[in-house]
Amino acid sequence: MANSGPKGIVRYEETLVANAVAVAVTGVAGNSGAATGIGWLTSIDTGDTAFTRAMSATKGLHLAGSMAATNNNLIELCGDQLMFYGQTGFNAVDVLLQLDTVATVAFNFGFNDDVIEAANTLPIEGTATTMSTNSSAFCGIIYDPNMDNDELHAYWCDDGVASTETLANMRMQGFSIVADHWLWMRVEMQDRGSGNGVRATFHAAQNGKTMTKEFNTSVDRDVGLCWYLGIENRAGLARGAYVKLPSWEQSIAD
Amino acid sequence: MASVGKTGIVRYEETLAVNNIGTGLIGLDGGTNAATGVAWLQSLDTGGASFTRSMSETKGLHLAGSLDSSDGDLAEFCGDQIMFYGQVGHQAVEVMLQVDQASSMVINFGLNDEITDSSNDIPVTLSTSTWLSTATSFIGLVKDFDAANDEFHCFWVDDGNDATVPLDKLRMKGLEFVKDKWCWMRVETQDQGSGRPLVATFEVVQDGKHVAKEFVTSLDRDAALCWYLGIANRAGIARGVFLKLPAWEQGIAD
Repeated sequence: MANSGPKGIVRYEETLVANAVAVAVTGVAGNSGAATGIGWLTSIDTGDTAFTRAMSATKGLHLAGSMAATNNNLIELCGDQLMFYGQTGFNAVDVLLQLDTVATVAFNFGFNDDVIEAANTLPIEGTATTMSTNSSAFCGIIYDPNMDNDELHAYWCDDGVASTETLANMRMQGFSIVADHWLWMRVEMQDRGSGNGVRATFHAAQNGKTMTKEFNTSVDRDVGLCWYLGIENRAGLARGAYVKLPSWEQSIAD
Repeated sequence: MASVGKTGIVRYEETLAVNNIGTGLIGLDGGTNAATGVAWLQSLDTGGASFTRSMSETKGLHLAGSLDSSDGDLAEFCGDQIMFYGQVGHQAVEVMLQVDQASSMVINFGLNDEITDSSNDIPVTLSTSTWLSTATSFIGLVKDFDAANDEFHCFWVDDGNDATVPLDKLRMKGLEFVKDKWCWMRVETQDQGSGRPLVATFEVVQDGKHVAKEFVTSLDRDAALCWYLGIANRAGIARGVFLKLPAWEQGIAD
């Protein structure tokens, strides 16, 4: 922020006190995004159950969705707008994610250039030691059991060009995930000025472990991005997916 | 506040994470007051573009509207309820306002006794050195390019009677209004108890300047008011109007 306003950053925490989640048509970006009362969109593949407000004795008020026992089924929760640009100065997204079965599941969390992806397609998918970039621009945390090391990874791509950072550097070594515990993830972007890719910080915390990684990325500062969480089956296992306190921060420029 | 609740003040900051803006009052400018999920109302004259959630590289998530090039055209943004009474103890309203063309216009920001006013009818104007008020009760900041000194002024009206404080005392000397920068405004009232009018504090920050003024006003403590921002053309110049982080505070009485 320049020299105006009560503080430099807007922070929004989705307490889920009101129902602000709409179901988007699978594969259609931005569907129903402008409806009154809507701040989030969810998309599912055949047989899945969309995220809805749910209550439980242990989780409190949260969002619950589920995946059918179909390989490659994808369930997504996104902000309804492409509202993040690195050049505002500072941006962050965070979420609490919980799964009741963590075997053979892949997920992406962070900033993505599409509100909702096509069916069966995460923005970034890993195999062995290779990341496949389906998005043109993405910056976030990847988990994919198809990789040799099924730990969390920091990752980004820009203009369809994958990060050239070595996989070993991007891997959060020793940080796998466990079932039935909240996994907190946070991705921050800081502007580095004209002509430079944004700097990004990746945090994860679960089950007593915390990990942070920071990189100068190749993500352009003028690319429009949205809050993105996608979870994809890597085998025919049904599972429940739960989300709590999706949040974002955005600094006030000008 | 008595002995209940964790804090003495309710504060609401509109991050715009969720779309919750309706048009004006039912029966007035095609309004949809009180619709589910709506917290803010707006009203426009012919040719103006409604405030909608928008994104940009520099402003991030904000509200964008516009005035067309018709003299007298008015764009208004209001809370959807008359919800402020001085006698609750403390109350405040805030906003960040930006325009891309800062000449020949008038701005009112503060508390008004009507949720959206009539077409071409902003609550308070200042022509050369003469106040003209169409509101019965109003308290807030007035910036009018038709004033002899086109700086921000503090002003209030009670039961149709204008403030009698001299103009040069009400004027925020040296605080003009520039385009393409956020201008933060805050109007705060404090109760003085039975039979006494409100004390009010007025603050404006823009482009490195910060002015605050405080007055014992003539405004009744039981006047019912709403969050109000109005911007009217003073000549035929089209302009974009942008808002960020409209907010309010209200003390907890009883």
